[in-house]
Amino acid sequence: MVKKIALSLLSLALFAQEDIAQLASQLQLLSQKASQTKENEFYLPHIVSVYRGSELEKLGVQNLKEALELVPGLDIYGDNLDVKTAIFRGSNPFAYGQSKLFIDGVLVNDTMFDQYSNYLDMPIELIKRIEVIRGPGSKAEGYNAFAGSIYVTTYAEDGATQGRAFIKAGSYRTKIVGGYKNFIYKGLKGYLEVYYHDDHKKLFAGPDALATGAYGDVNRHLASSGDVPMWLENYSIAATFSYKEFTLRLRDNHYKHGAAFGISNIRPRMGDYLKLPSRIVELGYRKQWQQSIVNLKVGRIIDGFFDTSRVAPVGLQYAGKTFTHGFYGTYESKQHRDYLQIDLKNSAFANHTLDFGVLLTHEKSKRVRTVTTSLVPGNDTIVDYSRSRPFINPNAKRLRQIAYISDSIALSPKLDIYLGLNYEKILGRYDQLNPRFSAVYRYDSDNIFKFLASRSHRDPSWQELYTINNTTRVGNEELGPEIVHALEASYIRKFNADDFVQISLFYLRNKDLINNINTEREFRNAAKNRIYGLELELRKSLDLATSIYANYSYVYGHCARHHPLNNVATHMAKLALKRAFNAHLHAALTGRYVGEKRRVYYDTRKDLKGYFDLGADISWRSDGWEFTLALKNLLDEDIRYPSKPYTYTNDYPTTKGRTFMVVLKRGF
Amino acid sequence: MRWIVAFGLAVSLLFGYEYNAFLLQTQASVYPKIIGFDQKLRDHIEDGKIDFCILHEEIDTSVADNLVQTIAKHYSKIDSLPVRMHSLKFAPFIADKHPKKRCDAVYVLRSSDAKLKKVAQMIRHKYIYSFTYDRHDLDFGFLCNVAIEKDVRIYIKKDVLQQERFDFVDALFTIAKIVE
Repeated sequence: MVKKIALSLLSLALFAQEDIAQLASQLQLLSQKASQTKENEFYLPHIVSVYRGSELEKLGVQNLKEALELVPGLDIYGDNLDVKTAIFRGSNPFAYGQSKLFIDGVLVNDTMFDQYSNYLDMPIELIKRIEVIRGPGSKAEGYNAFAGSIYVTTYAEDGATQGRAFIKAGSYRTKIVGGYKNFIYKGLKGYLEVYYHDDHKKLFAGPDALATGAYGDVNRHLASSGDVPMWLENYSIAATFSYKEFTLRLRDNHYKHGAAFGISNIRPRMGDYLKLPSRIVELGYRKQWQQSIVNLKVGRIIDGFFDTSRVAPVGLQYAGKTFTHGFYGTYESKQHRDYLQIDLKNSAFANHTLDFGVLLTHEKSKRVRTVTTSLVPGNDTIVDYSRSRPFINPNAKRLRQIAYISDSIALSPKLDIYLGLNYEKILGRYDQLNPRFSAVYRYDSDNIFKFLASRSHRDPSWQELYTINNTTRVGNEELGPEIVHALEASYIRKFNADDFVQISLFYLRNKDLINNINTEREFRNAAKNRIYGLELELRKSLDLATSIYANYSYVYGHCARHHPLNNVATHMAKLALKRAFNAHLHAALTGRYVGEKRRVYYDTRKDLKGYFDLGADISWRSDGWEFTLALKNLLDEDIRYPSKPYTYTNDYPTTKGRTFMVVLKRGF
Repeated sequence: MRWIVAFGLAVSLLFGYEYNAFLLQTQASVYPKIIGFDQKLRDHIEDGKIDFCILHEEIDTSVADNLVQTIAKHYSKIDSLPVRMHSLKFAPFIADKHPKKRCDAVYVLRSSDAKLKKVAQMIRHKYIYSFTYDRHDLDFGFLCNVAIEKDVRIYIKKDVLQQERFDFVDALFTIAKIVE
């Protein structure tokens, strides 16, 4: 009897131990998933803000651009073609590639400008999560982020059978329709995503660059003000298929935008346009062996630039010729970027998580076309100058080899350190070695301190390297990379599972910054500056139904000649207040203050005024349906992006008064 | 792994933003298991079934209902005892003089400090397993919380453990952290 009881107890104990082992394994998997999805953002060796798409929807956010505008220390800039970029902590607004955008792990910055403006209109309904890492520290090993990196995750991550559709209508005769659907078929997981955006936005702008004398006094009288084409036609289709260890990602983004303020800062016609197409194919293989994970990715990104417009009006006198019918130009380029990445993570060694890999990329110009009005006096026909005067070097190519290694070390239960090294070689040009160190100290579960020191760089874009036959911008194939050294510190106080305050300080030392401010208009590694600042971020529940998200950022800096940072708002503050009235009805208020922006020292214009963009949102949700009314710029502020000197004296307007959007959504 | 992913997906699609969906899915997948580690579970289940209640405010009804569905789908039984899931508002629960008749386990969502304190007092010495959404709510006198920190961690409140005389298997304490 005693023996039986003893055996019974023993079997119970063994059974319990087996169950505990299962639970421990489950916790480990959940921890891995938490790391992958940045749920444990406060404990990671980055300064990161994570936003869930579902949260952003409830704030009235409509697309990726509007979501990014909520990030501490991040501003959006748009140029003469309304190509937009995110400015992190006073980073150079005219150098697009200083930040990187990844969609489902794929870098989507294009080769021509290193920009990702063509993805900023991606509807928020298709975005599951946005992680924004401020500073050069990037989680995607192998890629060098200079000022910051943005990681967008779609619902392709989920892989369960689900779907959603939405339709929107609003100001500027905007119509947007889209949706996604996940499915599973015999072990094959699929995800399909589609959206279409069409609007008729036009804004009053001017006078244009002709008024400044930039094209000579003889042309000043041609200057004009009036509506400029800001319309957008954007459709995109994406698919992800996963089968066992293999994943295939496809994305095709057609982006056609009005020519905005003109390729030469001369007001274009309403039908003139710019296209920034992007096509992505990536095949991935992921295999886990106990404590090791191998990731292999091979892909091709095809992107391009296409602008067709009336570059200058009738009567322009230039280079000894009078253009009696105006000057027309079509500029087209197409680039391929092929890449191969092999990454191995290993956590077999006690307290160490090692990550190492290689990334090889090959970028190449595939097509360059330049068709303009004849430059020969007396001849106003349209001439194909693709061979004789291409606007980009048609033989441009770049081979990049990157090797990286990092180790996350749990030195004690309270202290983790991260050591990383990234070596990059541009074949035939230069090589760069970027170290990174960070420490995360947990005083307790609610008080976390971080310190980061890093070096990173930005490779010049195609336009900076290979622009030719252009008098206003001259490419320079001898360009080196821009370099940043960064020191960052952060303190996080968690109030509860969801509420926190985060205080971050940063110091950036940038050198070899690229600009073309010289008499030859050639891109050169000409500038350096020092930037420092702080960011405060707060998320707090005011009661069970009301919560607030707020942040404030301060940035200050100066160049080597002690001129303060230009085109950057020293002060920015963002606020989002949301309240649920019941299980069906909720409302939100969002506010965004962007302070005044100083001009570059030789620009005599007054500083660009700051603005406060106030928005409101009200939503009703019931039985899987959701209806939303979102209002923007309620205070009717004059919101403008800064223009360069001798372009549009009155800067680039971004909106015409108050706007609205109505949205109908349905999950299925 | 597949089971965890499937479990998580079912939850994450349904919850509103007020709650961290990943935290909810993590807690919902772990809490029922913890009950199963009590060696005296059967001694304290009076009617042969485990009544597992999600306590919530009116505004969180859909959150609680979805939790009920999700846990019910994945845990029809704990240690071979059938599980009955219930979604209960705080007010009627607090008004009930015999909480043990309604619930063998409670999972408390967000509420005011006063209500949480009251619930904790009500279930004291009733041998009711108690779980929280927020780790800080353990201080009111609840038993267990799963939190996302650097890793996913289980916290067990020491004084509640002692007061209620739960008899969890020793191995549980190798992966859970006991807090004062």
